[in-house]
Amino acid sequence: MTHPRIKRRVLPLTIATLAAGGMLSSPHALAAAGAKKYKGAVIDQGRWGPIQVTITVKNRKITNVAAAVSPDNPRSSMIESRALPLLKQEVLQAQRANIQLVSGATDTSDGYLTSLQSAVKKAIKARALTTKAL
Amino acid sequence: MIVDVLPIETDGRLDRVEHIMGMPIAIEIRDPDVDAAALDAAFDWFRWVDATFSTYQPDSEISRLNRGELILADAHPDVQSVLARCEELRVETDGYFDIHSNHLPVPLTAAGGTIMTTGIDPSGFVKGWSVDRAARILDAAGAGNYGINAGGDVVVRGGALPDAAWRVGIRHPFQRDQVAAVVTVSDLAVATSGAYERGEHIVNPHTGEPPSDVLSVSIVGPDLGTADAYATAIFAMGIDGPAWTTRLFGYEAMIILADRTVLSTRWFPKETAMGQ
Repeated sequence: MTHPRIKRRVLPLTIATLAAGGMLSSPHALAAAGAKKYKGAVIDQGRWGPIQVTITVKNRKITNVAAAVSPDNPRSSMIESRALPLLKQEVLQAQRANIQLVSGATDTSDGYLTSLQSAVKKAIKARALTTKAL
Repeated sequence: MIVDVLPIETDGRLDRVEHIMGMPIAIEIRDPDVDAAALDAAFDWFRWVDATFSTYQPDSEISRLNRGELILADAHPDVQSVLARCEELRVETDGYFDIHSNHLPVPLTAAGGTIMTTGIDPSGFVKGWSVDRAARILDAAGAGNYGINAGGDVVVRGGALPDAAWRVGIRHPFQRDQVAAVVTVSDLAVATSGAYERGEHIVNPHTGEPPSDVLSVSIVGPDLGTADAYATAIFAMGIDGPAWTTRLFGYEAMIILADRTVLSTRWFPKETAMGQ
């Protein structure tokens, strides 16, 4: 069980991502010079199984976000194929609205967010990403 | 495409997420000078609640009560008061919040053999109640500006400093990249029940069927355990839920119906509605 201790500054990190445009899902994009991957914590989601988010950072921008779930769990592969692409959007949308908490959340989205947070944190520690104040 | 903003670690503030009771519980303290021991105490409390109330743990007091190995009079005082409060809420909601209603099967051994019987499952109240009690732990540690999110049920105090309040999104029932509404609140609990992906499988206890008229019910009010029970009950009532909200005192409701109509009680602190 992972217990990420995240001391958070309020600040938004501005991220340009090409992932939504689909460019980065192609393998050669990930192989581009300077791109580096940061894995988030593996978060146990109870009956949904573990989830781990990996971000790809290039030129101080997140260029891809990928989530891995247990492949032998049919429920998980359903989530991966259907829900996760939507949840990825959701993370970004929610932050854009400057919301601190969401009521009605699910295991899946929270595990996703928790793992994503820890991946970003790792990238910042490695100075691959920077924060800037509002 | 430019998108913003991931929450990032840095100085001062305390923020922790743990998975307890089958859900992520997140606590974020925005006060500058609160000892991290406050977080330890709060998460220790949640672990105790899980060990005591879980229907998944065979040694919990609830499991022992269900198997007939423990009588209520010998149970922990918190177990007794929780079950008494659940019974009050069952009566108040005309049986729509009912800890017997999920038909949890448990073996009951007595003279003559073992039979399967229906156990109680108070977790629909315990979740919110335990967050209320965790908030008191943080209060006692001197925290005045914090948020607790237990699997989508939320308690906030003060503000998300430097903001004077907290902005809490209400998850959109089927457009998962959106929130249906935003409430800006301090010192308040927010609970949402709905037909979300995780599937709480709320059924009408009187028919055994899930309601088809309602997509989600959100309740704000002073006490999360109570708000959670009301949200569950009103969701289970289906199309009769909106009318029942006139009986609420000190709690406000927002209901999203299957036809996408959003109904709110007068003082529900809604900032933006969906679909507009």
